[in-house]
This record gives sequence, C-alpha cells and structure tokens, in this order.
Amino acid sequence: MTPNWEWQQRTETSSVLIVRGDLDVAVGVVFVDAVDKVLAADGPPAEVVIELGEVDFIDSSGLRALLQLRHNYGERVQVGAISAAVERLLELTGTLEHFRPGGTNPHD
Amino acid sequence: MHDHFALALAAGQLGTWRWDIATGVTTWDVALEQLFGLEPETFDGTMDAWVALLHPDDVSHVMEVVQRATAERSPYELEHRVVWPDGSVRWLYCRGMVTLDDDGNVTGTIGCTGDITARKQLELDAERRIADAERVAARERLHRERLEFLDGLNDSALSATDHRELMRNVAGAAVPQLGDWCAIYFLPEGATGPEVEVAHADPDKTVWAEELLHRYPYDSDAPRGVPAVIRTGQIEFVPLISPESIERAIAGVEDRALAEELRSIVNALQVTSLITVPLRTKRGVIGAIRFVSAESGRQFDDDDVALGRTVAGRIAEALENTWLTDQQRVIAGTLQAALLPPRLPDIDGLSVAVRYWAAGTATEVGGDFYDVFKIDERRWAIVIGDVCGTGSNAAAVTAIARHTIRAAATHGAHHHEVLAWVNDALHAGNRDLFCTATYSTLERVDDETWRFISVAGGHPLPIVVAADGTPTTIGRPGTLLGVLPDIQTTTGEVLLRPGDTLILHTDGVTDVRPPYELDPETVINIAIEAAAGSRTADDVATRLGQAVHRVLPIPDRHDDVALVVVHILQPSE
Repeated sequence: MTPNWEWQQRTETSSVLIVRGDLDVAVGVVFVDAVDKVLAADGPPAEVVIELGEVDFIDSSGLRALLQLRHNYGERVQVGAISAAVERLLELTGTLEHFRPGGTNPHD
Repeated sequence: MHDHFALALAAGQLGTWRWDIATGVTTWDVALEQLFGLEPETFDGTMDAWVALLHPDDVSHVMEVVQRATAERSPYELEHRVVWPDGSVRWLYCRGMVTLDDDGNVTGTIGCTGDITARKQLELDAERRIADAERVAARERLHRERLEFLDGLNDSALSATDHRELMRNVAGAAVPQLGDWCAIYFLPEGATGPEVEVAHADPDKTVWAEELLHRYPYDSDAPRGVPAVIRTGQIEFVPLISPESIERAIAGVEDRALAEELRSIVNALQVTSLITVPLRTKRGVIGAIRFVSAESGRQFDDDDVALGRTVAGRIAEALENTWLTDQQRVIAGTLQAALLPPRLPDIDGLSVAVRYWAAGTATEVGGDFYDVFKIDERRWAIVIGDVCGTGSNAAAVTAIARHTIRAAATHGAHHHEVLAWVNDALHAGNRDLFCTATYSTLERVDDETWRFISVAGGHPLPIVVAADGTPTTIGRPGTLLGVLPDIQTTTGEVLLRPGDTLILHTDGVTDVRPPYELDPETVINIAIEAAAGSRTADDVATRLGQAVHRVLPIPDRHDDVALVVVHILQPSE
C-alpha cells in the first residue's frame, strides 16, 4: 500500500495530517519520517494533529508509529478523529486514553 | 492399379515388348520407345541399353523381380522409374509374362508397359502433404508442451517449501518433454560443491544417475560440461554427440580402466544431445540447468536452447531466494525454539495444548510467546504474549518478558504486579518495542473446581467456553507493556468446572487486515464451535487451528498466531 496522507494547514501553528487507507508495517516508518520532517523544521507548525477517521486498517506497526511520535514530541502530536478500526486497537491495547487530548494541549 | 492399367490400354498409350532368351534380343514397339523417351526405331534391343535407361535406384529391384519371375515361370508386375535422355524422370507400370516352349522351357518374356507418372505424382504429393502436416503437428505439440512447461514452472517454484524441493519440482517437470534427463546444479554461497537434482521419467534411472553423481565427484576445474558453464557463464550446446566426440572426451582420461568404465556408462546412457545453461542472478552464476536427450534420440535445436535460457532465467532468482529463505528459517526456527518452553507440564485434572503457527514466510523470529509453569502445589501460571516487531530485538523483548513473568510469579507478586514488572523492565530498556500479554493462573479449589484469574496488558482477553457452550471473556483490556511509565490493568476471575474450556490466543485481531475479519466476535464464534463436543484440549486446538486457517490462510499472515488451550477434565478422566 502506498502511503496515503495529506497535509493541511489549520492555523499558523497547527498542521493537520489526514491519513487514509492502511496504517501498517508498509507505512509506519515513512509515516514517522514525514511527521519528523515537519516538526523538526524551523518555524511553524508547532503541533501536528493526526486525523485517523479514514483509516481502514491499522496494525501494531501503525500503533508503534503513533506511540513513537507521541513519545518523541509529547503534546506536539495529537490524535484527532479515529475510525472504528483504530478505536478497536487503541482500546484493546489500553492506549486510547493516552492519545486523547483531554484539554491538555498547551497551545489551545 | 489394374484400373489404371486398363485406362492406359484404352487410351492406347501402351508399349509392348518381347525378350527372346535364345537370341538375347529384346524387341520394343514404337510406343514403348516413346515411354522410355526414345526416338522411334532407336532402341538397339540389348539388355544393357534397357538397364541403362532405368533409374539407378530402381535397377536392383527391377532385376530381382524379373529374375524371380523367370525362375518361377510366373507373371509379374512392376512399378519403376526411367530416366529419359533429356534427364526427366518418369514412372512406368509394366506387366510381364514368361513365355515357355512345348517342353516347358523358358524362352523369354513378353509384356506391356504404361506411363503412371501423373498418378505417382499425386501419390507422392499426398505423402508429402501428410508428412508436412505431421511435422507441423509435431512442432505445434512441442511448442505447446514448452508453453505448458513454462506455465507450470511458476507453480513448481511457488509450491516449493524449500530450495531442494524447488529444484526437484523443476527438474521433474522438465522430463520427458524437454529432454530425457534434466539436472539442476546449485552452488550455494560459501559451499564447496554443488547441490544436484536429477530427474528422468523413469525413477529407477533417476536413482542410477544419483549413484553416478556420488561416484564421480564434481570437478570445478573440468574443461567442459557443467563446471565450465558455471565458471564461464557460457551456454554449452552440443547438438549431436557422436562416437568420435565421446572418444575425444575419454582420451583425456589417463586411467585406462576409468576411461573404459566411462565409455560404457556413456554408451548405456545413449546421450545424443546436450544443453547446459548457467543460472545467473545478481550475485553471479549460481549454478546450471542441463537438458539431456538420450534414448528418445531427439536432437536439440536452437529453439531448445532458447527455451533452456528462458527456464534458467525464470528459476535462477527463485532458487536463490528460496535458499536464502531456508537459511533464515533455520536460524529463526532455532531462536524461536529457545524462546518457547520445551514441553508442557502434566497437570492432574487439566488437559493442556498449545499451537504455534509462524507467519507466512517464517523467515523471522516471530514475536509470539507462551509459557505454562508451576507456581506452587496448587497453582499454575499461563502466559501468552505478542511482541510487536520481529527479529533479534523482538527476540530480546520476548526473553525479557518471559523471564520477568516467571520471576515475578514465583516471588508471589499479584497479577497486576506481574505485568507492572514486565512494563518496568521493557520501559527501562527503551527499545522502541512493546509487548502485549496476559498473565493468568489456575488454582485448584477442589476435585472439580479451578479458579482462573487473569490480567491483560494490551492483549486479547482469555475466552472461556463453558461446558454448555456459553462464552465469556475474562478481565478487561489493559495498557500494553513497555511504552508508558505506568499501566492500567483490571484483573478478572472465574471458577471453571469439568467440561469448561479456556482459550488464550495471540492475534489475528490486531494484525489482520480485512477481508480476513478475525474480529473479537468471530474469534469467539470459532472458539464456541471448536470447544463444542471436544473432550481434550488437543481436540479444541486442532479444530481452532483449522477454523483459523480457513478464515486466514497461512501465506496471507503477517504475524504469528499462538494458542494455549486448557480443558477441565472430569475427575474420573
């Protein structure tokens, strides 16, 4: 599966990454690289919201990619909408709460 | 034939002759002279002049028939060719009789002759057309066989589970269509000699060839044949192996006894034609495929060489890849075995079974693990887990998880503490890997009752199928292990009685892509079906395995699947 995502600028400091299709072993590493590149660059955006509402399939590699980004960037990486497939995996792995913004975003 | 003769008679195109033995003179009429392409009245009446006009290839046959008829005093019929003075060839039909005197002595012969060139031409044309058609048909057949063979090659290669089987399949598919024999030589990287698979349509001959290969070791410096092809990367094509060429090859052998033995083997093989094509990959020449024509007597041509080249091109990469896979599988299998318990303990009153299916390619150490061990006289621990990722890092995490759990459990840690220990151990390692697991215990309450207590960390919950078929999942999902500094888990508990079945599994759920819907509901339905009527854990595991294979064929798997099944036995069992 070819990486299938799209960047959108929401505000000056916030970019949205919309992911579609599969977030699996074939995509995971490139996906992390793409977010790394955006967040490591000088200047905006200060944060990235990852929209997973259109993800049909996510496997443990996809989960690992999300956990890694969260680990490296903390609250600078947020998860927005999630699809049923994503919710199922996050729930099973006890990580759903971990990705909820819960009003903790310092940039709000 | 007689009709034709009658026709000729009626048309008046008949010549006649009379041969007188006494005088030696043969008398021809003008019509007969015309049939032989002579001007009227120019035949000199001698036997020699007649014989000279016959087609050289037909002389002996004509003389034989005439002499036999004379000796037997019987009439005769002949079809033969004559060569006219202008060089053209005509077909004649003649019918002769032996003449006798009153005493029954042979006085000569008499007969008539007609021209049958036109009919003969038709006959020959028809024969040629049939021969042409047969040749075309044979070529078509060969062509089709070749295409079928090439089609079948992919199947042969794909269905092979290791590289030796691939070699066997391909060589076996090649005979007898592409040659009476086919041999594949493969030189794995770092090997001193080649691995060889030989095939012949007759299995006895295959065995014989294998014996020969054992007897005459591979000589990588040999000036011709497979070693030369592998060394030089050049195709060797010998369209026709003549006795002289065999002698030339044997002349180089100094040991005369050996030379004699080789000669008899070569003669017994009846080799007529040979093609040897190098097997080339990005690494270089890794071997050769050889087609041998023998007892069929077929001579290979350029088409065969082209086909050999195509075959070599198709199998070379596949062969090397399969071999590499084999090597990885050996390593992975060894590692995996070290990470799983060598045998399950016998537990009075319980039937326990485990299953482990490596992912489709089986080339890497999978992340699944399980363990069953004794905590004390009344309690047993059951662990099942899945490390995200494969390879040596995953193997390290598996080892840490298994040993941490054993240590925590035998030190009397509570269920949630056991998983917390694992989380701490993995989180400290900071390996960018995580693990999901359930830690469960079975405690004997009385002869018929067991208390099952379980806690899950990011892992599918254990399923209990009661004796009456009612399914329950035990506990609640908890946080996966090794990522977050603290985990949230919930311990679940249930009492099990004889006939109840407990099923712990690794995924299918997190790493299975649609349309293979192994969602939790499907898994539970499969569990209910497998447990129904099963009397041992092994039965349940086998049925579960079959059901899972149906939903998710092994080649399509990206992840290992592991199962632990416990069945509570009746006290009498």
